[in-house]
Amino acid sequence: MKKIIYTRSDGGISVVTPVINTLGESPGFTEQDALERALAKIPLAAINIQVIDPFVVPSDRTFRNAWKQVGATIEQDMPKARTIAQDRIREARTPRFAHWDALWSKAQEDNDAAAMAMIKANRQKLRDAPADARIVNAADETALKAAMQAVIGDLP
Amino acid sequence: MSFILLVEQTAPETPSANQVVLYPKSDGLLYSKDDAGTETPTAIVVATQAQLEAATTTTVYSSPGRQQFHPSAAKGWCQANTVGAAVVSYNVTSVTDTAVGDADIVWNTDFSSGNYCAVGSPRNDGSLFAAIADTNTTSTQTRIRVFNDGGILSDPSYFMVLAFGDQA
Repeated sequence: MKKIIYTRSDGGISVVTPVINTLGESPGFTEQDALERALAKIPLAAINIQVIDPFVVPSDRTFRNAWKQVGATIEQDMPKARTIAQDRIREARTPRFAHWDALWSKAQEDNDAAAMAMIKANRQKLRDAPADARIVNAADETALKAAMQAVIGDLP
Repeated sequence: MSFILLVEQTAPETPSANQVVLYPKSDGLLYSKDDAGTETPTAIVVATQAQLEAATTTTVYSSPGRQQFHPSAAKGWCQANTVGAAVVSYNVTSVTDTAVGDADIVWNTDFSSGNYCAVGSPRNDGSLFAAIADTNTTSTQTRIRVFNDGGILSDPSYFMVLAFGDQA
């Protein structure tokens, strides 16, 4: 079935899937009927309403909130996608910070200078991770996703 | 042409022993009154939408095409996946994917106001939980938001929404 896309006033994109209900529809209710019914209920504030084929909608939702509408297509807003990738890295590093913080307390108690230096370096790596060059330099969604996964995998 | 003409009665006298009187009243129904003075409607009458919504009368009956107007009946429901494809649904016009973990169920027959009761849930996704959003839930649509245990919006594999209330 066709879908409907439009841009909201906040700049985000909404993807509308018309529905033929499994119960309660009139006999002979068609996909075209469902599409027209859904179009009639699109918000008045919707911008650039387009009817599209389902394959136009990206199947990978990793950076869903960075989608932007260009005509009747959906593209990635790369600055927004980088922000999402950086947020994911921050989420992933949170338990790592807790891990090193616990070891830091132990190293302080033991007055273990070598351990403290190692922990300090690792915590700095965690702080620097969102700004990793692989994230900053990723040219497209695919490269960004791979970079994000690599940075998370490298978190100490 | 033949017919039986009955004149509306407000409260006919109670008949003698072993007798019953039949009479129409101003509500259009035919009633009987027995020798104990007990009045009973004699026909099954289909409740109107207004009668079902009022949910007070006990002398008319619900029909399959109108029972959804009773306050106890769900006015709409839907199970859909992340990309908005409804698996099963009733009274739904569309499902809108607005962001990660965030979707609008647009109703076919709207509610009479934004004050109705909706519940939502992800389907068997472990640590995910859902809430009905305050913003963007209106008489025409319900927004469900699904979160992970860290409070971050997350896509469930499927979600479900169910709503009760007065329809327009």
